[in-house]
Amino acid sequence: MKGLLASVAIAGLAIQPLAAQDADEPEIIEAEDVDDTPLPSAHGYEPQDDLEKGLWYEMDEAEKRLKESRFLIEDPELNAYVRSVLCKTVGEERCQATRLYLVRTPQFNASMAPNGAMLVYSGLLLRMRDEAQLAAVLGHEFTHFEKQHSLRIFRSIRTKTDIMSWLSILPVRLPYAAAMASQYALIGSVYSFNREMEREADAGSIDELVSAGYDPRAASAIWSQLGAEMDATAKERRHRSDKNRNGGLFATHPRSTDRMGKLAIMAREAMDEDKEYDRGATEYRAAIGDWWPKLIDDQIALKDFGGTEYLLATLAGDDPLGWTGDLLYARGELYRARAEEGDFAQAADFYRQAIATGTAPAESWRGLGISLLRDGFKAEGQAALRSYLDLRPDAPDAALLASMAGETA
Amino acid sequence: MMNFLMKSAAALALASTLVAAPAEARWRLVEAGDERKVARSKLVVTAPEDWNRATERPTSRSEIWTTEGTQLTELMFYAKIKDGETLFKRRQRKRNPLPEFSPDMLPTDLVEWYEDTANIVLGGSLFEIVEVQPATLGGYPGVHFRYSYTGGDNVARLGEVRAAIIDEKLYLISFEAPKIYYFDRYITGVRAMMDNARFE
Repeated sequence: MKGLLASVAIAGLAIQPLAAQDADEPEIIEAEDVDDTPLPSAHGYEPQDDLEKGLWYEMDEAEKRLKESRFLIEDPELNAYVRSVLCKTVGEERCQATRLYLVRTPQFNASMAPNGAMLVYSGLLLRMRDEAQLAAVLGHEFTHFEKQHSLRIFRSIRTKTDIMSWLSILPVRLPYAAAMASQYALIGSVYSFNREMEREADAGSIDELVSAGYDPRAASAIWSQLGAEMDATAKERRHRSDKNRNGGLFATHPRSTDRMGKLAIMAREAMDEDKEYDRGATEYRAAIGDWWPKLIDDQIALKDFGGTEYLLATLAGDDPLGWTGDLLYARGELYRARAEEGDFAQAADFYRQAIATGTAPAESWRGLGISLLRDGFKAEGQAALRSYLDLRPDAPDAALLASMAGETA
Repeated sequence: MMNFLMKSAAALALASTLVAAPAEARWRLVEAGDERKVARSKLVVTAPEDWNRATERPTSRSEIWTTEGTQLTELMFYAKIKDGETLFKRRQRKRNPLPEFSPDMLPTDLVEWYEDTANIVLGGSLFEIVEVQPATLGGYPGVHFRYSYTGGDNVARLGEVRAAIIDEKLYLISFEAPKIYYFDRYITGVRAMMDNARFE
């Protein structure tokens, strides 16, 4: 019977969409006094009882499947970098308990399973502005792990007599993305942590940031960026903003606007006035650089015009000079993809600005050519396509572009 | 509800992800050499070998065929998609809107439109266009492209599409199958079918 209950509970968590919890979470019963038990981050930690053993077994199995996933980013340099930020944040010794996985998916999320498997989504890497922000998220998830929050949720499930009713109130708003995510849905389950747990994780991340020498104000900055991005998405799509309902890392309780304020206060209190704190913006950009064009392509493919437009502007740092060739190219792609009245002219303008920087990807010429053709400027459009083909004669669509450029294929 | 979720999470081939109830559809044999009008249109194709067609349509403008089950071979016909319509049924109109077809699209736009639709439906980013060529469908100028992707079941699949905008409406034939064995087994026949498709 015990086994059955545990597996039902696991199935319930496994089907939770990764970043889509809302509504009220079930009340979680606090664990009994766990002070004298070792921390899961300690060297050689073993599960303490049957329930935890069962949970670890399931998670280890899920982790094996995750290792086969084609969605894993294997790039050793990027993995080493994210790991180095985690280890700097929580310290070399505690970070040994973590096995880090970078997953190629455009959503903004991260999670850590009770057996020490940490998942970081590429959509999160795209959005962080500096190393301190990344450290804040990693520190937050690590605190959930070290305080055994997900284990406590499992224990509380077992105390409920009516598991099915518990499952039925699990907030489920299935995004299309959940289909793709099924391979790592279990291991990457984003638990509905309660208010107290989130507060603990927030406080934990501030402590870790300060002791690692990172600017702790990074934590609240993430919230303001994310909130504004969700507002921008909602405005364009004409639905209510998700900023106070998105789950997981950004769980319902406490509401993100409150949380931002509290984090800012905690950061101020934790900071030593005489000390210099590091944001690591340059290091971060250098480490993510090679991946950036792919990550922004993934984001543009989501067709989230409002959110992406906001994101590009924040990445440019709200500074006209911050618009690099890559960002301008991305902005052209975004407008061209939306294809509404005036968008092709706008897009063509961004592509031209991108090309003028001298650092834009060759695809700027392709985008420019197509935008001009769509707007009726045939000769200029064809000329731009020919420029692209000169730069990328082996492009996958070279034959089609050549015919559109008026060349015989 | 759980069944529904589990089913969705199983993420099959691209189109069947969104097909309402392929398991309950009945299948009818299309014998090698049979000529059939597809997707309630005048587009006529000739079956290169024995195929099965579903009696239920994924949408009113499409039709699905298979040989070994849609997870292994999925042949889709779409016809008469009009301005403002989407490739698949709209499910999450506001939060995950699917891109709409426009008759003003250039052949390159058609490819991107298909790719964007796939990316939204699959929620992932491992969809890749491999090659794009000018082509004809039923004598009309259009596009032929090849793609690869990995879906939620972690199976690597290949796909090919032939499409053309005719009289402001989109006609599209797609085939996809796992990269291992199934794609190669059927693609020659499918390409011949795309080449020989005609309008009655």
